[in-house]
Amino acid sequence: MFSNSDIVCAIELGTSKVSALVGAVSADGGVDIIGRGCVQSQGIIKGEISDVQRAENCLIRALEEAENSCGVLANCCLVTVLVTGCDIDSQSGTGSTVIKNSMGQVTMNEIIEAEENAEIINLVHEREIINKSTSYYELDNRRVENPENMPGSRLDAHVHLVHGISSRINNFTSLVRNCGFENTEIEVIFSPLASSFGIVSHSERENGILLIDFGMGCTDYAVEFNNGTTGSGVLQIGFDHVANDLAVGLELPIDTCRKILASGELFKAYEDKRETLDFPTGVHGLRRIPRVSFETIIDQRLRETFEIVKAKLIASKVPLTFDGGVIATGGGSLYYRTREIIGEVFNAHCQVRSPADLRGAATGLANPCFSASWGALKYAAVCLKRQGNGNDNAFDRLVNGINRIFDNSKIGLGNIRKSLKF
Amino acid sequence: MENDKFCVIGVGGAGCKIISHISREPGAEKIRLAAIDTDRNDLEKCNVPDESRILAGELWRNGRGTGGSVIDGQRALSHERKRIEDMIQDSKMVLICAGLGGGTASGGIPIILSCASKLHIPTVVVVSLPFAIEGGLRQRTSDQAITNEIIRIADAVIPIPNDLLFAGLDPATPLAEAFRLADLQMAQSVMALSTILLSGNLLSAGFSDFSSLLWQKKSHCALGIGVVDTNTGDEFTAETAFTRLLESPLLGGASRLCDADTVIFTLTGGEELSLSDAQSVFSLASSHIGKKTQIMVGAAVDPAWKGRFQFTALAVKYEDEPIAPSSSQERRKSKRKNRMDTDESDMFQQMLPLSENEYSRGIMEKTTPVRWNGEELDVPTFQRRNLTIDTGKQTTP
Repeated sequence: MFSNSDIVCAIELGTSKVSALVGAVSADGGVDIIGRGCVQSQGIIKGEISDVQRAENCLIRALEEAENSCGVLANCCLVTVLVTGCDIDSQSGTGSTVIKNSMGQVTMNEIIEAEENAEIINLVHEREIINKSTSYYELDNRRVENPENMPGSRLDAHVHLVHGISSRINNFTSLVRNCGFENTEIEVIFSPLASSFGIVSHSERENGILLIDFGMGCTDYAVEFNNGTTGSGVLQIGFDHVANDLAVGLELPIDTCRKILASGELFKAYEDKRETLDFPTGVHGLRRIPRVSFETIIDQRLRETFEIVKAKLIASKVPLTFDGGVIATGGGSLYYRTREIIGEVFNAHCQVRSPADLRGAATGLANPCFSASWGALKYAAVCLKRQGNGNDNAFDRLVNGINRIFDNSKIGLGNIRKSLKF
Repeated sequence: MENDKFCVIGVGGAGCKIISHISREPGAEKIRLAAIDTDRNDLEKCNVPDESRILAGELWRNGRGTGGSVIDGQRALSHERKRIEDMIQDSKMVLICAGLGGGTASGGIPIILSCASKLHIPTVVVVSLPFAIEGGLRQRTSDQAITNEIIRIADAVIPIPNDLLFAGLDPATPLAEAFRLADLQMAQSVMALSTILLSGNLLSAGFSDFSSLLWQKKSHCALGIGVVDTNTGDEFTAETAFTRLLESPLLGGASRLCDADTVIFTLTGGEELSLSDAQSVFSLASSHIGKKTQIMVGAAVDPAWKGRFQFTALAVKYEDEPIAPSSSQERRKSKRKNRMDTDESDMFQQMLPLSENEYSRGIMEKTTPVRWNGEELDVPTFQRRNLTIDTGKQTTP
């Protein structure tokens, strides 16, 4: 059934889960989900791979599940991998080019050249640029959204560049390669940019929003304004830190704390106005912990995390104007206090959002945990479509403002060897 | 627990006497006793089977003892390393008891400790410290042995100053009798410890809890024993047992229970030990414990204990102090001064901290720290802001 479509895959190596979404690219450029594999993560802490063997086993199991559910994973021609952590930082760059062609009009070549020039920034040699997203263009000092085919003499591209430490980013790509994708193209995308691509609408991106992906290991964030990204980053503090705070502060086992947070027990206790929560200890004993102890510890941690996100944005001189408010996603956004606290810290309206435009076998994916994966899958489809349209010059992708990385080991489109390791 | 898992070794003259006392206590057949000495006479008087005796340094000392020389003690026992290792090798835990101040024990205990740590066996050292009046040399010897050698390797050290041992005795007691009673009390402490460790058969707190406690941090312990013997006319009530425990001179007062970080309670008795007995004793005891203290309870039933009940409390306190030469100087000075006053606070010594600033990163302990503005974000936020949190009361239904 899918023999005519191109198959793409989006892989997320997260702290709570490792997932692989398989999609079939449709004629209109969108993507239908045809398979998925999702397993509990091991060997990944605070968003980064700490035990390669265990992470690899998780990914292999997730890919097996995905293969079992769709059967066509072996034909996958493009894989996107979400990355976070890795000391990823962002900055803006400007690149210019002079319009030299006979018609005096901006063509795709000039746009690409301007963007490439913007990438020339002084980076420490151990860092590399992983994504760039054009914030806006200026044609003869006049701001334009899409300069293609417009007349002018000089084009400036203001670009948002995301860069990280190469060796740590390579951990992700080499792991994916080792799991059966040796000959497939791998695209790396920074997690909040993927989430934003997955769940933020075009109009919201124009009005300005802040997206916070509050995951188990990391908190990723991106600010979109005027259809471009003006700021993004990651803080390696996640929802697991909330559980850890409870475990340390109340001397409870970490798994008990994770369960309490996930089960909504605290919210029920709050609604029922119960003052304490009970925990059996030993043979006879019972430990009554006041609910307010839990709430204090959790509140402190959540508040601090989002205050630090705010401070980081201010430090990178990103204007904090989001008419569209704040969009919270990720597993941690499901906790009942997250939304309120974000709203208080940023003094803006905050909503929790999951992927809304899912197509295909999407059962169970309408959950904030899957925003980034869904965004990465859509991104894969768009990458592929642009690739197919013409130049196969490696730098020739212009995808709704989100561009590619350079990856030296890329081998180009083609069939993957049927060598998925099981 | 089988009887070859827990090994009690007596070192030196005092150690051998203690071992002899232990061998006569009920329940002694469950543990493995051994004696090491340089003095042949002392060793022969010791009531252990021949294969558990080691006469150290026979060639040099000719079985005549070390004469108080630590170097000779060290040399003698290091010659016997292989025999010591063979003896302890299939033990799960080694308890060394001795009287410090002389040569064999003060020099030899570190050797045994290093053998045990090579075989990854946890060690507990119960030692008596010389009297205040025994003079400077013996005190210096025992001080140096403890602070420079024993604390560094042993997992738990229970020092018992002789002054304290004798404090509970009637001043009119004849001297020989007084020493015998002191040895007996040491023996009972060792037996109490071993019941804590062997009492796995009813409730959870037993060997594995204790050794996991030890493996985590270096600790200070104080031991209290309350014995109620219905065969001699006492009546067993929770109050009696507990009061006897609190009066136990080795505990150093009820405040030790309150200040401790962890307390392990064990109740041993004969087959008539009932549920209500156990419940009443444990609930009385836990009501005397501080809020932050973790409690482990263990209970054991042994037919050999017919008519007798023993309630033991092992109070473990973790303290922060790095082991550095200057601080051990201070410790030695403070110990000597305290012993002069027979102040019970010298029961607790200094130990290794878990982390420098008392903050724990919990499960993030072994990961790269995340820092922002000079703060370590993995440490819980409420701790860095110095907020106190009510962690809940321990209640029993």
